[in-house]
Amino acid sequence: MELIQGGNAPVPTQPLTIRVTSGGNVDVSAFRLYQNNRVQDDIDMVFYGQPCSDDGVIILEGGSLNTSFNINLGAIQESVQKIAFTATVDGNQVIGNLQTLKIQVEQSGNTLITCNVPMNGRNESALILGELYRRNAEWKFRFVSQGFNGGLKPLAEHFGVEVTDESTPTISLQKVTLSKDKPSISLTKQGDKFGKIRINLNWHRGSPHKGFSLFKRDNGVDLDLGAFVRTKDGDRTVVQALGNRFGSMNNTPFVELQDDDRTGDSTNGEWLFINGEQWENISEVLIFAFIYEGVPNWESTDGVVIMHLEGQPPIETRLSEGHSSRGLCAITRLINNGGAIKVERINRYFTGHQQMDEAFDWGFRWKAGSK
Amino acid sequence: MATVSLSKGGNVSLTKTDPTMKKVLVGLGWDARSTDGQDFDLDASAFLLGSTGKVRSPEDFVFYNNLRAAGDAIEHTGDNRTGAGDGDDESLKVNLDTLPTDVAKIVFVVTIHDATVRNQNFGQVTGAFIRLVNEDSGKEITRFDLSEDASTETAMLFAELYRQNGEWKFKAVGQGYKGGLSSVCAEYGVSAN
Repeated sequence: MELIQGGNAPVPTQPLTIRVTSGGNVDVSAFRLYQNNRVQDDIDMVFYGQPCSDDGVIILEGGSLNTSFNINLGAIQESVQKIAFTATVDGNQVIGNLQTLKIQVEQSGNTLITCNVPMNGRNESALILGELYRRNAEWKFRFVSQGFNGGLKPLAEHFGVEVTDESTPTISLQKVTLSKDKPSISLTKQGDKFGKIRINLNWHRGSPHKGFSLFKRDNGVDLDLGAFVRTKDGDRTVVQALGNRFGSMNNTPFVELQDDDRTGDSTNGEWLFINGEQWENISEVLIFAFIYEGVPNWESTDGVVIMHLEGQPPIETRLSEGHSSRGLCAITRLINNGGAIKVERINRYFTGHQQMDEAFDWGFRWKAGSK
Repeated sequence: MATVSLSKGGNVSLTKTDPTMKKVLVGLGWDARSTDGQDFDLDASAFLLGSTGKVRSPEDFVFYNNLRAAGDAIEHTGDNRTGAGDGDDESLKVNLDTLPTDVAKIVFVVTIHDATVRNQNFGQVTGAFIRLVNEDSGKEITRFDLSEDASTETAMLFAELYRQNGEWKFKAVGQGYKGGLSSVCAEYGVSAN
């Protein structure tokens, strides 16, 4: 069923998925609310920096163009009255720029409720998309579609989250963005080891001039994510879908690429994983993206790479200022710096692997391949 | 009187269930908008109808621009355009004893001002309710949760009080109404623009 703004409908008290899809990059969060529609603590917010609620009942997956929350509704604490789902866009952007924004309720793969946010004149930069709420001993879903022009700060304050600056002791709402001005960051372990390091590449599939076609990759661009890995023993490995070199988490190079999904129905982009437990055996990981299909046009591709480390804010770098005749972008590299991970933004564009190899002096031997 | 729970369309004889009720208060309340965007401006209105089902004259339409009718037998406490304040934000008070005998029915209506232009409905408004109360005793006879149960409506016929065999009866209607206040006016014989 489709709801209009303000509409509501009952939902089964079962494990449900709330999915938010959009035509542009958006940060989606969930807030656990108690009486008076307020959080009790920062832990009540589930977002990119804290993708799982403390009780494990709300779990965020994906991000950017397709974010979902798996919620075991029957296991929600009695005191929680409502779970609100929000979308925020960066800085001077507004929700209207996303072109499409949708929230839906799914159960076991079936869509129960669909809500398309009317985009006309959307000036908010943070929107309460919808909410699950208790009503007469059952759960219902309301399509709210209201928000704040001022973005995440007034939104969070609306729910009683105290937003200080970037240096909040427990939770930083800010992502770390690597840019020309701030090209590197050094990360030390939180606890014993680095956990699983997850690196996501996402991008716009279609041409914005013809309107977004999120799910059609045929006419758009297929970006592949890959890495050069140098281990401490001096071995060098290429990890990429081309040539089926997917790598391995448990053996050298301790870097693995998730199977390349070229069926066209994945909007999660591409994922590369680094086994942080084995960081001591890794010297350097150079991460790159290349255009496997389609014409290089980095501006309209609007690629973004987000690196997730457990207990750390996500690190984002955008594939901007691209040289349009060059199909390969060296995005970032992770260097083992006395046990810490030094993340450096590179953002340099090359015509192919060999040119990049030469520029960073890796010394692979190259021949053409296909997947 | 015990609280009467009324389903839509249920009729209650006030003479039997609340014989002391002489003064009826219809209260409309909602929360001021906390998100950005145009205010939610809800309006409570009443129509005094003759036996034909139409107003006796345009003055029988009691709303934000016409706060009194039938002497002072019915009074609107004034327009609230934002929902600011606690409890009832707008109310209509009726003295059943002093209503002219040719008033056969009173219809209470709630609408959202400029709902179409502002693209609003009751479901977008937080905490919106309309209730009918015995003003003397303070007892609430019925309450309707607009935010929840009329979420996709922009106008609603809330309730009717009508004379039957010399006594007042009450009917909770809760019927959504397309076209806003002007179409309600047309229904009851008030030409409005």
